[in-house]
Amino acid sequence: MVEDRGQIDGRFTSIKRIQVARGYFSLMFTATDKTTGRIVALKVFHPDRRGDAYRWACFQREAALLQRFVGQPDVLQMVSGHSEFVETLNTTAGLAFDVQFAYYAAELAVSDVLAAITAKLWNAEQTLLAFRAMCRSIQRLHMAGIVYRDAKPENFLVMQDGSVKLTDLGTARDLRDPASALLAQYDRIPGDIRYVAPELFAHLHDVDPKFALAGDVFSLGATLFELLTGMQLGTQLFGPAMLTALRPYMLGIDRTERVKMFNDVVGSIADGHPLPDLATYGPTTPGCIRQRLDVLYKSMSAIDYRKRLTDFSRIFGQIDTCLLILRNEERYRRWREERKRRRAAHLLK
Amino acid sequence: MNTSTAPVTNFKDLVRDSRFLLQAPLNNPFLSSSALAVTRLKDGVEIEVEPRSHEQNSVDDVLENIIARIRRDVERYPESARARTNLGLALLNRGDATGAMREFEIALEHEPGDYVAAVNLARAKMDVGDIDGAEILYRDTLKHIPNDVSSLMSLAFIRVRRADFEGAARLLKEAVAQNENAPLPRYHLAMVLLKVGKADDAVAQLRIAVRADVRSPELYHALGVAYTIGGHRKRAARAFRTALTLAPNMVDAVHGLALVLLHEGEFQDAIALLREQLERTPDDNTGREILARAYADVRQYERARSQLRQLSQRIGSDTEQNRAEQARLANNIGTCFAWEGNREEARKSLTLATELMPDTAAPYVNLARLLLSENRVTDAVTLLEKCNNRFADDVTRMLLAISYERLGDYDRAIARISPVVEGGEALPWAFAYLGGLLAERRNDFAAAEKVFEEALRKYPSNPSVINNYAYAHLVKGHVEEARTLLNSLPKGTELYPELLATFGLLRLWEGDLQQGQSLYQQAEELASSAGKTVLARMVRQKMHLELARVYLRQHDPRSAIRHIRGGLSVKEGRADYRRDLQAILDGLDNKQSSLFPPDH
Repeated sequence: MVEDRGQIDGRFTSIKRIQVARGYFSLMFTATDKTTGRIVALKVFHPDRRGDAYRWACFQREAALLQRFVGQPDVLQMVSGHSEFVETLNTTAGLAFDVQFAYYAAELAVSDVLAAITAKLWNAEQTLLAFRAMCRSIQRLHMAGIVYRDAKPENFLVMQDGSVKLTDLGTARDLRDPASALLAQYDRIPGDIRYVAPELFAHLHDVDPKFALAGDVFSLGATLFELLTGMQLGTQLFGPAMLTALRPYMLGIDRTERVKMFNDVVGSIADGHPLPDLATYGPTTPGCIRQRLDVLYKSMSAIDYRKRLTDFSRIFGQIDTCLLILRNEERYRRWREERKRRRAAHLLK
Repeated sequence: MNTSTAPVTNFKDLVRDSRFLLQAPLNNPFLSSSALAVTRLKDGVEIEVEPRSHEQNSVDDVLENIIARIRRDVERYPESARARTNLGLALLNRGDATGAMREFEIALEHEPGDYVAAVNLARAKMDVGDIDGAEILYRDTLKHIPNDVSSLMSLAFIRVRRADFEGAARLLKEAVAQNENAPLPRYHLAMVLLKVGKADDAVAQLRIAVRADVRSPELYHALGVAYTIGGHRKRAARAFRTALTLAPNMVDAVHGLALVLLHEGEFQDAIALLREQLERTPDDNTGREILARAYADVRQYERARSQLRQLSQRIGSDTEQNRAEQARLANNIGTCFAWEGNREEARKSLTLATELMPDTAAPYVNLARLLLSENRVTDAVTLLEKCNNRFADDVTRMLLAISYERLGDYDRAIARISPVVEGGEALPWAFAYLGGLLAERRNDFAAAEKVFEEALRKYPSNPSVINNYAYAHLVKGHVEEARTLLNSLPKGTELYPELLATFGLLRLWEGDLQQGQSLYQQAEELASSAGKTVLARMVRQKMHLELARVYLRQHDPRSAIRHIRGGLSVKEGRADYRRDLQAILDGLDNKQSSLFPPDH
């Protein structure tokens, strides 16, 4: 129906539907922006889903948040803000219905990071550069007082120029805006459960939304794990043993007691469920940086949120060290051997 | 007869006092993720894989959610080995091994060299018991990636399942050789070495492993377990404490440390540690059970029972497994009552245990022990014979033999214990007991010697075997052989009442009556202080019997008669000792009573 329109708001023409996977609550289109001549993406909220207050709120929030990041790198750029148009639907019985569509326009991506992982498109350096951009985008949100709560490869788009940008801010929450909280009737864990931090399983974010800041870093660590191995950390980690350990804390604990009770057990849960070693996934990661990346992803995805590496400057420092080693692999190898010789000589003295 | 090995007053078989739970130090998701339960037995080490449980409700909801999301990935990328493998893993988590294997196979069709899909398919095959299929896959993987550590370790696990521990150790050594600094292969090698009785070698491997990964609490915990199995408790305690420094909430390390402290006699430290742990984690059932045992060890039986009752309330009785647990707890509550001397309550609890799990021998055996402790030997025999008809286990046969011995029916006693020894898997105490019976009651030293020699071949430094063999020699008057045997006891052997009594008998034969008597008295005190009043009485009775014999040999009937009367005055002593004493007295009465009027 939307494709049949010649134009939307007098600005977007040549509208074509993009097929998206099942389960999405929006329709995606490409269109030509008459003002710039560029092809852009139109995200149109599915009119059938207007009854789902939570999803509708997500769509509105996403449009509002994207608007705030216009002109900033690493986040998908909005071309035009939240707007609506009406389409008349004529039934076979001769009746006409007005259907209201809400949409916004954004720059068009070529693919997403999940597709890049699946197609094994990137070498180690490209992977690290992409990951650094992903971290930067989340850091940008955090600095603006926003928690993202749905970091995963699918939600990072790959642009025409190869850069990586964050999209899908529907689950994000502005910590400075109380109205931005999730709707009261929606008590499920925000985001994709395969990338969700254990403390969010325990609904600590309901006690204090700032818990989701460290939760974002956990999801980024899980994303790094997937970038390096192709496997989803959550699928490895959230097996019956881990979920059974978490289950008593998932629901039904009074808000005032929740954090204390979770803190009492999260250490032993973490001790009992060590994260998998990258080395066990075969030679998917270059040997010269495997150990460092192993430490990095494990620090970011530490099950005990109190031990998690959440300082982005340190995360960037470690990524940059890995990049430096990767670009100077031979020199690094020689340096290590020299250091080993010097230490041995020192011990022999 | 020296019944040093007879567990007459031991009620605590079912308290798992030497069981340690170990998690692998680093999670290699291609290997079995189950924890290992290491149990120290009298004659070795049992290592079992703890079964993984599939909890329902919210756990299933989350697993379904994960699967639904991965299915969307598969729809988006139907030909992606990565997506299929992720789906397979999620299905495996839900317990759907068949569905998981199908996904891994599709992944391998799309990408035949996909390592993750291949090793996970092999793991799934292991889970469903297709060991041969898994072995083929691991071998194929090794062809593509020679010396792949995960495959080598998994092949080692297959060897373990086939009880080929030497083969498993060989493969694990290959895995260790691939990366000398990798702790995981060393950890698993240590577990296999523990199983084959090489505790010191296991310790050596784990010490290298902890040097390679100094921050791994799991490795320090495993080192603590290996030290415990090897008998180095002080070092074990240090290792457990290090594990707890690295991971203060590591429940298994708390249990390990508490068990070591209990073995070291540091009961109050163990109690404080466990109470702190239970304040943090009230759901820690194992910790609560160890605390109950600790209270029982310091004779705070009421507190011990209270902990056991709390445990009983926490565990339902809806499943077969829970009913078995309830029976075990009822048995242990009964044990506490028995130790306390409250026989009536003990009987109630033990009877309840038999009702909860009628197909378990232990509560019946403990009821029989209760009857034996009340000197109701005939009733004990009736119960034990019934029990033997149903279960025919070694402990029942042993107790039956002891009971028949007490009734003076030595032929039946030997008939009951002989099958235990002839079974080939007998524990040292069975050998020691049969040898003692043959030597003392049948006066068949040749047969006894055969049994003891076989026992020494199997258990060369077992104190019970050495003790009873030495005792048998002393019955025959072979003082030199007895001394040599007792001198061969391992350094640091713990002195227990029966062993002290044998040393006392040796001194009597050597002519040092004062020290001999003193050693018997120490044995009696030791038994008394351990709450083993029946044993204490038996030791006193035996002391008088042996002293009477010595005086008879020295032609001093007056002193002999004094000790015979001393032995006969022991209340609720052993019937066979009483008979022996009476027989000597009767003999003396016939010959010499007119010469030696009774003492007053």
